[in-house]
Amino acid sequence: MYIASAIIEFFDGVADAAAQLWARIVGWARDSAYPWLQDHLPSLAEDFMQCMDFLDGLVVKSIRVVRAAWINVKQYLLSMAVEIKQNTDTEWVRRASGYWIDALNQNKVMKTTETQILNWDELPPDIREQFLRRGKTNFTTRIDDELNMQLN
Amino acid sequence: MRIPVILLLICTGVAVYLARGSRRETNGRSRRPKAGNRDPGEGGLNRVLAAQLGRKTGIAEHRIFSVLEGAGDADLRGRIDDVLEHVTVTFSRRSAADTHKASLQIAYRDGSTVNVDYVAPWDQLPDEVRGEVLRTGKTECVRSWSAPWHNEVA
Repeated sequence: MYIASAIIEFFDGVADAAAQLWARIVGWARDSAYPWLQDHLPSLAEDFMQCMDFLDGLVVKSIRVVRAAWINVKQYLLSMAVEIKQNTDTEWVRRASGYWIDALNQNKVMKTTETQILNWDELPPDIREQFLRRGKTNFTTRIDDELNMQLN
Repeated sequence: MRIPVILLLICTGVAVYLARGSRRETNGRSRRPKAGNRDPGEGGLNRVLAAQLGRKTGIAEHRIFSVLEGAGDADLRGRIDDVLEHVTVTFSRRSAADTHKASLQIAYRDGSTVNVDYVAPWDQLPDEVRGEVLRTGKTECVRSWSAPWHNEVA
């Protein structure tokens, strides 16, 4: 059951991070690499952009596959919330609660709950930062809302 | 020689090798989808167009969007063809982060026109537009949009 929310969070992170990183790489290629090559190695400039075109087709296709997978998951995922809260001085608890449409009986809704104990270094960086800066010890995220914002 | 320049030369060498290999495979083939296959990068454009057509026709936006995405509703296709004359889309680059503005000029058969803009990140641009931008270095691409059923293979 832990795998379900971990996979969703993985899809979330990978699709969005890959899309942003690739957009920056394309921008660098257009604004920096290609002009430099035109000035210093003009015979390679066109080949370089042909390569970028080729890679772009592969990368964007991969990003879209991940997004499409999330859309399929969403058909069955009604909502999912992940709560991370401090349990003791050294221990945090991560609890993911999800409501799913039963794929075999679509009139039925299933609830899944996954609980995981986390050490300090297993916490997401933004949570560690908020704890250190503001002393915040309880965090709740709705996975489906975040994904909808990032994928739409 | 500075390290970034060395890295750039190495990457360029790899790029040349890959590009020549892919050029042999593709033989200059463009990224235009085969007739009948929709381009996933047109999803954002179809969403905006569905909203406008919904306002114009009174038909539910989600039904129009489904048809624009390839659903086979012959009656709805006909109703869209009856009102829509022409759509021109201009994709222009906004910033170094490679988001683009898509400006739709929608012309209806009754003579009215509507201009609508939306912002698309790089990976949500149509394949053909991204390909043209990378191959030509253009910062603006203009396209005539056509309904997917007009491109279907008989």
